[in-house]
Amino acid sequence: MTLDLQVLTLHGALKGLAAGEFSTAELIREALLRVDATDARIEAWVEVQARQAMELALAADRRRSIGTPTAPLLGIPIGVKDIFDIAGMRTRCNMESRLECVEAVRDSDAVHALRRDGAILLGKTVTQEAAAGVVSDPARNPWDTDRIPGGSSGGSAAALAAGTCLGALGSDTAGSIRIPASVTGLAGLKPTWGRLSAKGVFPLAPTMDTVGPLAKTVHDAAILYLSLAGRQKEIPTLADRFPEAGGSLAGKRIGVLRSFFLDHVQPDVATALQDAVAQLGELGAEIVECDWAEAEAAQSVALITSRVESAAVHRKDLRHTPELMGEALRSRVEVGAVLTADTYLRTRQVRLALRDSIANVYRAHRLDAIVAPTLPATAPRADEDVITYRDGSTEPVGTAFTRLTSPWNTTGQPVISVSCGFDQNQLPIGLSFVGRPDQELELCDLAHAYEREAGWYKQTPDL
Amino acid sequence: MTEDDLTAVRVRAAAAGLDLDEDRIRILTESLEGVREMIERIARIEIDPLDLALDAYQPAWTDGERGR
Repeated sequence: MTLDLQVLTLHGALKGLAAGEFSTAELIREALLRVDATDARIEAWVEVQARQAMELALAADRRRSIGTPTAPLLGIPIGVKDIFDIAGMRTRCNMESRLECVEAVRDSDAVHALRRDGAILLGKTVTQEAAAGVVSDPARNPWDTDRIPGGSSGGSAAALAAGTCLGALGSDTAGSIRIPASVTGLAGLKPTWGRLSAKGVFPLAPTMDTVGPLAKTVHDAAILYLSLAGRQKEIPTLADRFPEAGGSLAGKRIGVLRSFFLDHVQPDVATALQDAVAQLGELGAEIVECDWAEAEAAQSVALITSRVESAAVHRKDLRHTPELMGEALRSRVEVGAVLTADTYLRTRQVRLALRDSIANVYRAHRLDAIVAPTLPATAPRADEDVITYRDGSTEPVGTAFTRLTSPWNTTGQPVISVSCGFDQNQLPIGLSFVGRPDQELELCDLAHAYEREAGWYKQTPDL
Repeated sequence: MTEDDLTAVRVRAAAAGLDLDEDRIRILTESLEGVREMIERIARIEIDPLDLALDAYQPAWTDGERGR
């Protein structure tokens, strides 16, 4: 049979493998052929371990053939952002100073979890330098290869949207899972901060760094999340939880924040949000308009926290080999290096107050989730430094792309971004569902119901 | 930016152990201008300045009082 990895979901692959419709070797071979066919244009992969992947695929098929109880992700090809340690591979982080770094001795906890569950790690995907930015050069967006795939998990998103793997690892400090998910039409889950281990992941701002999956569907994201959380025994139960036909949202209360999140967005994004809110209402959810007066302060807290903590992470390089740092990273950490302890401590205190304030919004309105645009704009061309709005105003891409995502890093809540339509250039638009802490699966319930009703996830880029 | 601004940044950079030439001092001074508004916005949020229980676990989500 012909395998189309752009269409095939992770859940669909698990079903197909279990039913004997195709073998793991066929699946991995198709993924590798797809890399060969697309990566000259997409440049999503830093390094692919083709031989090892095929060996693991053959071993997986042998395990199935003798009836060995199989691991829940057995044979699933996964891309890994190049800030996660994989034993025997370099973790370069797209940093010049790490080009020839020593190979990792052991797997990061996230990689260990996926490997434990039988996933086949195809290799490393491109990230922005030190995971600090939204461009992920040289990776490109499969929907339009002149455009960026977002960042900093841009290579993971591009690899997945191009059909070269069935799931990918990302990390999110100010939006780095949700941003690339939004501009490539994928599902990207940022779990509650601290929920998943970041051990073995190169840090950016440790009090905000969050490990999470990129996937084609909410169901797929939930499968990967459970593996990463060590809850792999629950994976088989997800098929009942996330039926193909979706489900009702009767009894659910979903908030729409009136200010800040809708203030300065491209018209196509605003229209897509309105349509999505209407569909959520049609599914039975009660839509509640509300305000969070401190949203802009939460954005500021995320930026200051990120600057100071990333300066601490890169202090040695900044002092001794700053010439090896790109201008964007160097400017960022220089700012963080000269901010004072007073400023940082005040920011930490305010962060707690803001967590309380958003919790009060949920409590006052009895919300199950808040929905908002993931980004104010769709993917810009790689040669564009700014987003231009209808009124002629402009905003630097890095600022625009973290403006609506970073407040949720301040609060630490779980967020999943799913596709909610396309702009006039046929570029994907993302919708964020923001949940209560530690309620990742409950959040996925809402996002899955919307995803199935809207159906945007079925569309794939024409490569 | 004024010469006083630049001087202040030179002092802060030196205190942080950074050896920056004048071009870098100018870039840093401009960048700090960009974050000043954010720091001021953070300063406007009312908090109890003596409340330093920074690791308290999301008390409002659980309807509980923050343990001290």
